[in-house]
Amino acid sequence: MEKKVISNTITIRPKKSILKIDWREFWQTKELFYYLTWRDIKVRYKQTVLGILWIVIRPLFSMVIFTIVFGNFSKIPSDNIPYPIFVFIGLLFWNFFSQTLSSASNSLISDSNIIKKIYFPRIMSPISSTFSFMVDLIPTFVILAGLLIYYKVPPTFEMFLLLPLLLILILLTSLGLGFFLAPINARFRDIRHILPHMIQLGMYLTPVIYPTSLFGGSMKQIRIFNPVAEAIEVSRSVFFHTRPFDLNTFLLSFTFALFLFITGFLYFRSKEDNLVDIL
Amino acid sequence: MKNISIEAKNLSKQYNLNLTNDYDTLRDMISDIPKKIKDRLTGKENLNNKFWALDKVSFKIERGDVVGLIGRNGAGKSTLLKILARIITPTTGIVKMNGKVASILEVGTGFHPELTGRENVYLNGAILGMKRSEINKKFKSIVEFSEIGRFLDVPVKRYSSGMQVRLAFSVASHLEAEILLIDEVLAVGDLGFRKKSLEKMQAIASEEGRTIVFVSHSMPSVQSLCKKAILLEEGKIVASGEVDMVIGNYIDNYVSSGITPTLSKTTTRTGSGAIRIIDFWIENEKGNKTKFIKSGDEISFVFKFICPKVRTAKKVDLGFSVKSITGQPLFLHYMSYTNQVVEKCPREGKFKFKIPKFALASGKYTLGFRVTSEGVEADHVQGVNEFEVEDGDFYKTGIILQQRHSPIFVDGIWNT
Repeated sequence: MEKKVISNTITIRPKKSILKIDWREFWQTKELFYYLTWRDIKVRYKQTVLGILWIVIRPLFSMVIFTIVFGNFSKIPSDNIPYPIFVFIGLLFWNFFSQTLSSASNSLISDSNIIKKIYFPRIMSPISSTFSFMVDLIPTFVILAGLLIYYKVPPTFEMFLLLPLLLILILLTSLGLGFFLAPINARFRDIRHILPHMIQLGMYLTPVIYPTSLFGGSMKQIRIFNPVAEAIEVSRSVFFHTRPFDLNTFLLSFTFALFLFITGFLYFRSKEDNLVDIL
Repeated sequence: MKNISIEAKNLSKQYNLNLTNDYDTLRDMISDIPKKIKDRLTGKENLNNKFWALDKVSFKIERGDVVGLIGRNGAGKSTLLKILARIITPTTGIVKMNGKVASILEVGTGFHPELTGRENVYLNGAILGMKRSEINKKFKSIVEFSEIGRFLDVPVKRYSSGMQVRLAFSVASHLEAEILLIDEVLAVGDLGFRKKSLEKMQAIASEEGRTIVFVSHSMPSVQSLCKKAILLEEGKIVASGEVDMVIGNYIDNYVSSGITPTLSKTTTRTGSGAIRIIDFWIENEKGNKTKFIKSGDEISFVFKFICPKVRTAKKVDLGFSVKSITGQPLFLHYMSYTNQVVEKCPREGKFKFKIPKFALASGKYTLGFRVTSEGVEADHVQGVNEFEVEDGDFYKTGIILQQRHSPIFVDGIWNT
C-alpha cells in the first residue's frame, strides 16, 4: 500500500519543461483516448438513415463528380491511368489530410467543455480527433481494392508496404500543422474561417486531380514540402509503374513531415498551460 | 510523521485581465493595438490589469481528511480547486499530492446528447478517469442508483434534465480515488434524489483513507460532510482547522446580513417615538449572535430598544412580521397574543422572542416590526431586516431536508 501511494505522487509546478514529457501519463490516459475516438465515430453518423454507409458513399460520389468534370469534360491527362482510379487515389489521401487537419485544428474548441473541467494531457485532444478518420479509411480501402481489381491492376508487395507508410506520412503532416493551429485557433477563432479556404487552395496546389507530369517534371521540390503530394505521387507510380520509386524524395519528404510534427508538438506543449484561460 | 495527502506551498495564481478579456478574432486584436501601445508608453499596463486570484497559499491536508473549502464568491476557492485538479497551472508555488486524484468539477462532464445513457456512462466514466473494467464492474450499481431504468438505451438528448443529472451524479459517485476534488455538485435532481445523493456523499466521505477537498457555498453540506475546513478570502487563507470553528469565523466576519446598518439608516420609520427599536439580531440556542440560521434550529429574535423620552413607555406591545423576499406575509406575532404586554418599560433593554423550532425553509426573508405604547403606535419599521435561512434538519431525523416548494415546515407526527 505504502509503495503504491508513493508511486502515485503528483507534483504541480508553475512551468513545466516542454521537453520533459510524462510518457507514463500518456499511457494512463489511453482509455480516455479510446473513448474520445469511439465517441467521434459513434456521433458522426448518428441519426442518419444510411449511417456508416456514408463513409463509402462520400468518396465514391466525389470520384464520380471529378471523373465527369475533369476526366471527361476538361480532359485532364492522367498518365494513362484510368481517371476514376487516378482521382480516387488523389482524393483518398487528400481527404484524409484535410479531415485530420481540420479536426485537429478545431479539437481544442470542440473539447473545450471537457478541457475546462478535467485534466488530461491536452495533446490527446488533437490526436484523438484524427484517429476516428483512420477508422473511416478502412471502407475506403475496400473500395480502392475493388477499383484495382476492376481495372486489373495486380497487387504488389510494395503496395502493402508503402500504403501504411504513406498514411503515417500524411498523419505526421496534418498533426504537425494541427498542433500549431489548434492553440492559435483557440485564441483567434479566425482560423476556423480561414482554414477551409486554405485547404481548398491546397488541393489545387497538390496533384489530386491532375498528374505531377502536367508541369513537365515530377514536382520533386514541391513533393518534399508537400507530403500529401508525395503520398499521392508514390502510390500512383507504384500501383501503375508509371515512374520508378524515388527513395530520396520520399525520405526528404518524410523528414520534413517529422520536423513539422516535432516542432508542432513542442509548440503545443509550450501553449497548453494557458489554454483554459482562452477557451 | 503523519501521512500527508496534499501539500501546497506558496501557491499563487495571477490573472491578467487583458487576457481574460480575450479577443475572439484577429480583428479585435488589431483594432486594439494603438491602445496597447499607448498603455505601454504611459506605463498604465501593469497597474490595473493584473490581480491575484490566489496569494501565497500554503496548507497541508492529511490522508483521510475531508476538507471543506469555503469563502465568498471570488475568494479563490474554485481557482485553488482547479489548480489541484491540474486544470490550470499556478503562477508560483508547488503542490505535492500523494495518491490517485480524481476531480468532479461539474456533473456530467463530456456527456454527449447523441449518445445513449449506456454509452454516456462509459464515456463519462473514462473522462473522470475510470478504467473500462472498473466501469463494467460498477455498471449495474450506477444504473440502479440513477433510477434511469428502461431509458438506458435512449439518447441522452431525450432525457429530462433531472434524468441527465441523476445519471451523471451516479457515475461520478462511483469514482474511486485516493484524493477526490469536488466542486459544489450536490444539490441535484428532485427532492428524493437529492436526499439520496447527499447520503451517498456522506458514505463516500466516511470511507477509510480517502481524502476529499470539497468546495461549497452551502454551510450545512460542509458541516455534515467535512471534519475540517479552510476559509479563503481575497485569495488568502484566513482560517483553517475544525469545521465548526472555521464556519463560525466565516459567518461572523464575512456573511453580511446587513441588518444593523439598514435599521439605523431606515427612513421609513413612523410612530410617536415613545419607544424605539435601535437594533435587531438573531441569537442561536447558546445565546450567541448568529447570521446562520437553519430550518428547525432554536433561535431568538432580539430587539434592543430605548425610550428616548423622560417618561417611560407604558403598556408596550411589540409585534413583528416575517415576509418572503417577494413580500408574501408568512407570520405575525404580537406580545399581546400571549398576554405578555410589558406594563412598565425600562429606559433601555432587550426584548427576546424565543422560537424553539424555526419553521422556515431555506431562503431569504425580511422582518418588520411595530411597537405600540398604550395603544398608540410608537415605532414602525416595515420589513427591511433581511435574513437568510439554510436547509436544516427540521424533523430531527438526522437528514438535512431540502425542500423548495413551500416556505414553511409544519411540525407534526404521522399516526400510521
